[in-house]
Amino acid sequence: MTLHARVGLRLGALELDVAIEADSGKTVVVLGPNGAGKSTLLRAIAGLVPLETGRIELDGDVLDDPDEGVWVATEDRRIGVVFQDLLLFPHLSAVENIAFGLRAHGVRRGAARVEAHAWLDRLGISDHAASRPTMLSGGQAQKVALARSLALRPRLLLLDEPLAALDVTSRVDVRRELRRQLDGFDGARIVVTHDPVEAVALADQVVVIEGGRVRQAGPVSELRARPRSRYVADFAGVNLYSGVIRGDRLRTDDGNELTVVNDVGIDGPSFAIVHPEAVAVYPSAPIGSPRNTWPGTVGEIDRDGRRVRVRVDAPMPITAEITERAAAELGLRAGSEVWVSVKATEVEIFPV
Amino acid sequence: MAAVRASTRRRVDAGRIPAPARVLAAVALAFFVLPVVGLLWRAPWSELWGQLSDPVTRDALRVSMICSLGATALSIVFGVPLAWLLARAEFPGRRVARACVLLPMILPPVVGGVALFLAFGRRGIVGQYLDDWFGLRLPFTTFGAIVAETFVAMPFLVITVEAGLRGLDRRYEDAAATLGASRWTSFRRVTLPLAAPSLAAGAALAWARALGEFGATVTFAGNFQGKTQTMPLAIFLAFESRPESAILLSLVLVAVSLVVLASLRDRWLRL
Repeated sequence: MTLHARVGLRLGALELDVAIEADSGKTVVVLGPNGAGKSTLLRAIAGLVPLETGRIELDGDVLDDPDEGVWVATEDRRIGVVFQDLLLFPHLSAVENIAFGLRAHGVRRGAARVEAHAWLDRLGISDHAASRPTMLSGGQAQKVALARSLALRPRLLLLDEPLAALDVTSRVDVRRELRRQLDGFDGARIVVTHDPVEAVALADQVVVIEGGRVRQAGPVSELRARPRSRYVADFAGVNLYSGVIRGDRLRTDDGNELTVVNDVGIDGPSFAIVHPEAVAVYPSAPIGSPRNTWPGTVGEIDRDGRRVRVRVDAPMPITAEITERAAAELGLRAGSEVWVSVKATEVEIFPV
Repeated sequence: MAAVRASTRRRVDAGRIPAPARVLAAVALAFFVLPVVGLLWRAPWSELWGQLSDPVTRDALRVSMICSLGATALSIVFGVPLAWLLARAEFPGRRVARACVLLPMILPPVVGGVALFLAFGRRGIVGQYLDDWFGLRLPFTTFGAIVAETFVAMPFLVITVEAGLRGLDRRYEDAAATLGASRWTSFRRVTLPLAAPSLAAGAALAWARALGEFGATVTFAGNFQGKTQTMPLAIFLAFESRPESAILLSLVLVAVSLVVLASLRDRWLRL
């Protein structure tokens, strides 16, 4: 199942002109700042706003093509959508929410309920079958919303900021669960987010949208290697390590160690992220509270206004973002010997 | 001295309503309460049972119930789709259509009755065909009384439900569409349940208005015992000849209204 879409439309100040492709079994993450047109793109693919120009084709079926005068209504597209605030029907219980789509497709009441219960079982929330959405936690509501869409075996699954509504503590669990569910879904999926961590955790392909246009598209590794805009650079500039977490220590794949605060109880393969602005640079070995310090050699130095991004090459390479003035006082240049430090509390961890 | 001033101010702050407004409000409240007190005070309670078993009373109660509930049902069947249209559809003349819906609310009911007669009377612009083709004659029939009451009651339902539909988050309908629900299914299973409180409120208002209807009913449907004589009509007639029974009939009508509104209150209405 393959989606080919070129979406052109105007909505208020936004002029959207974006081409996107998605293959079955793959997750495309649409990443971009707020107001870039990400949600509008999803709404157009789902058929909730019509195209002005372009064409949407799913498995060879044309869904929307203003030039040919083709338009397939939302309810006939078989595209599942998980909305940003989920939009679970407040007057229906969890099981009725999941059964809703089956009922709309003509499945009998009893059969629809049986299947809805099976979904709740699979997601481990069958205790909450009779609960109204307001009684569910963020993570449970998210599972119900996902099940509601997946129960219809859609050809394509669209998720709009699936983790934005969750608090930080439940986000890690829900992200892992989401990843598992997405892997188990054999259609194509498109996830919209403004959170680079989510993108790294979920994406096979990333499409970066800014101001209604595609700025860059490709696998995460390619974006990281050759960022082509400030936004992508920020995304790519995030220090990301993969390894195995045991207790409060992450052992990276290349044998280095990082102290973390593992208050979510991760055990096993994980990612760790360190934002460059959380990295401090010293001329000699620092003594103090930071749990992680190591020496290295300054590589590339990028100036961006009054911020300077310093690449420090070491067994565990890292990028630090410091002020122009700090860089001048330290006399940093390529080849300088420095120490870096990262507080354990500044290391963001999440399971693979 | 300072202590006295402080305590006065504290009391004013707690209420925040100045004294003259409180006096006027009390007068207004008394204005609503006193007539009911008058009814209760002057009612010849010993004659209550005799009045209730009087065929005129029973007929009037029956006709009132049939007509007001019938008018409420017609208001729901036709008024909800109209409210849906007014709330959601973009069509030329929508504002004019809305004004037409409001018209019966500001039209004197007697004028409404005359207008209904000109439209649906035996020689009326629609009525003559109803008679010729279907043998259906509205004036001076029970169905005519229902039509008259619907005319004055339906606007209350339409306006209330329209406001309710406008206040709904339309994205729930988007979600329903992505789940394969047709416009009709999504209206029936999502929009309408979410708008249920406003539908109940609108239906209660329409029913109360229909129950009290006098002018349009008497003009269009007449005043025939057992057919078109509703409680208000019976009360008006009795008031001329036997004021005591008018009082009792009025109390019966008040009691019926209170029972129905109270039974709706906890579930649907915020009174």
